[in-house]
Amino acid sequence: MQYNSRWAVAVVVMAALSLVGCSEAVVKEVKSTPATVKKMDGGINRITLVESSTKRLGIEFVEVKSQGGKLEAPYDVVVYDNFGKEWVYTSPEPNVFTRTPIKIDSVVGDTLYFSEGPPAGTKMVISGAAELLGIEAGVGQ
Amino acid sequence: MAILASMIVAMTVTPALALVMLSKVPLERRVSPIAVWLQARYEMLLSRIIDNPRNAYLTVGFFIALGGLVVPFLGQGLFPSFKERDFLMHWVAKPGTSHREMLRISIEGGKELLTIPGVRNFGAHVGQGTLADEPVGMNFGENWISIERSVDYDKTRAAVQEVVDGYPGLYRDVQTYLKERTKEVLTGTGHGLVLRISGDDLGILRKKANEVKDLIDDIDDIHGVHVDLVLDIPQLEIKVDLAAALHYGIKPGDVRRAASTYIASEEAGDIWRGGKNIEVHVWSSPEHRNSINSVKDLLLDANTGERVRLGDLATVQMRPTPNIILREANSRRVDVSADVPDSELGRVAREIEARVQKVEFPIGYHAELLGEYKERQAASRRLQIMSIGSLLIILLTLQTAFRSWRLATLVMLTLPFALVGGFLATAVGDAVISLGTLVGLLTVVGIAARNGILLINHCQHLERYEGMTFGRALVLRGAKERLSPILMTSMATGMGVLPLVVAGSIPGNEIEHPMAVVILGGLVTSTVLNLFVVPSLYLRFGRPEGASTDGAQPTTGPISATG
Repeated sequence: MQYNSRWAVAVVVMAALSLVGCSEAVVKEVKSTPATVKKMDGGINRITLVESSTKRLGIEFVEVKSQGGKLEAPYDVVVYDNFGKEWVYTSPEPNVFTRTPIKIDSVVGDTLYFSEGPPAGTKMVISGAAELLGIEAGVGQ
Repeated sequence: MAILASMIVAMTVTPALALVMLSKVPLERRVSPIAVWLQARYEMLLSRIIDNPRNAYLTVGFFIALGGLVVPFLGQGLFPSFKERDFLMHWVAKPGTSHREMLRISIEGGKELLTIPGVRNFGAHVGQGTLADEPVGMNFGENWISIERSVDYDKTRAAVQEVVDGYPGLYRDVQTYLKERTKEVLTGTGHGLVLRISGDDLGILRKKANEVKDLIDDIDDIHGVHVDLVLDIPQLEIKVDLAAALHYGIKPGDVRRAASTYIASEEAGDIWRGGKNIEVHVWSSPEHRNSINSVKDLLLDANTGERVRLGDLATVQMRPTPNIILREANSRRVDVSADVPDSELGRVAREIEARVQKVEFPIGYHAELLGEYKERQAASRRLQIMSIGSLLIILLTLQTAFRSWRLATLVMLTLPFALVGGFLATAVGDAVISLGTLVGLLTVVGIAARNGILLINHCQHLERYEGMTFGRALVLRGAKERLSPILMTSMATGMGVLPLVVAGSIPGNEIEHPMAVVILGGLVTSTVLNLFVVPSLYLRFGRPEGASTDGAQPTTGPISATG
């Protein structure tokens, strides 16, 4: 073959190889989830949220008050599981949430009175509990 | 239709107009200086190539190989992704979530979305309206936003996606309206790929669906894999204790009716006021039915006159119940849905089918893949049949033009080179073969065939009517004389689609832009092919049957001056 045609062939072969190489270098995007659920001993789930998600869900807390031997809290803190058992969400660490059982004695208006449950002074989730329940049920994951 | 119309115009109107407008104009035989310059250069180049055509053939071969290499890496999609400016986000919480909570979390999401630059409005709807067409629960919400024309589309969309991703515990996604509606027509849901598992028992359906979900979750490029929100929700169940009811002389039906009225109300009548009919219901006050304890405290009358608690007459408890039962074609079903970028649709669908083959379904249960993928298969099958049909028609047309099967086949075999230009141009551009690309490829094939006809027909004309003998001189002269028309027609077509290519993939041009890119790329390679390779091929293979070598007289046509 003549000199210039050899060059043409070389160029074309290089172009073909580089094209093949380019297509295979696909950058994989790693997506981080805003919430992780870990199963702990006793079957309770431990939900860890990213700081921004805690703010986005508008998670707010309310403290358990002690009134004359009985513990009281707003009724809104209670979530029901599929069997009607009552639970509340507490936060042992920032951005970490777990469900604790609670036994209701009575509900008067918007206030809940209970004797078995989180001790006085515990912070319970009053806003955003429905979403935490959704995270545990695997909604959106 | 346009080509047909322009053909009719060219054969009737143009000659008539020429006669009318140009009859008085003196006929000056002036040749454009550019054409002269081009023809001279072309003749030099072509004569060198004709004498040693092997390099040209090898170049063509390599480019075809290059095109062949590129094609598998191009994605395949059906619909282009329309760059719409209206977004819809599903915002679905766990079934059983209250209206108050749905309002709160939708407003929270809305407030944050409005802070993204470019988002100009926000709206949401929660639950099901009185005359709504989609039966959904209170936990179902949709958020709507639109973005400005002036902002960077991809950046804003990415920002919206990032905000939406930050709300765990909700099923959420970001879609555009057109895409969601099209998908809904194709699958019955708003997703690109749907694996529908049909069967009888909800428990088994859910188990198999979750199994499939875990199996396909890690396929490359798949996202948003989820199972239909068919979950159990707590439901209050009141079961009459017959012995206790008998003791108080209360019939089980009474217990049921009384409980139903207390909890769900009972219509007692209607009032007509202000042109509207208002229903009147009897109901207990909310604080007497807002918890399981208060329900147990509801009082019924015994036949002895005393009042009995409902909790003493019946077991009142919460039991899990399915929140929704979905049915399709006489069978219960649960869907596993996912979204895929358009270019990966084919590959991901095949991968899903391969993996699901390994799942064992009990008797009476089966899985089926629906969605955009099935539509695309049907559409490409149709297109394949049409392409074969049109290639056959092109072959017949060529044969009619050249009156030689050999020449027709020759030109047909050069068409792939024209296609290669289209594929290479697509690879540089979007790298997706979509509807527009396929239309463009068919157009390019037609243009390449036309250019081939222009050249070879003229060579045949020179041979038959001007008495040139078949040989190198004939081919050179024929090609030189056809240089102007070939270049002009190619450039005219190219200029026509150039604005579409330059404008880029802007909203509104999602189908035309790939088509224009393919046509432009194909024009370049087919023009190069026709000007440099077809003459050498014609010289080598196009010798008409029965003709002798240079020097002999043609048997038909006028006697040439050269003798």
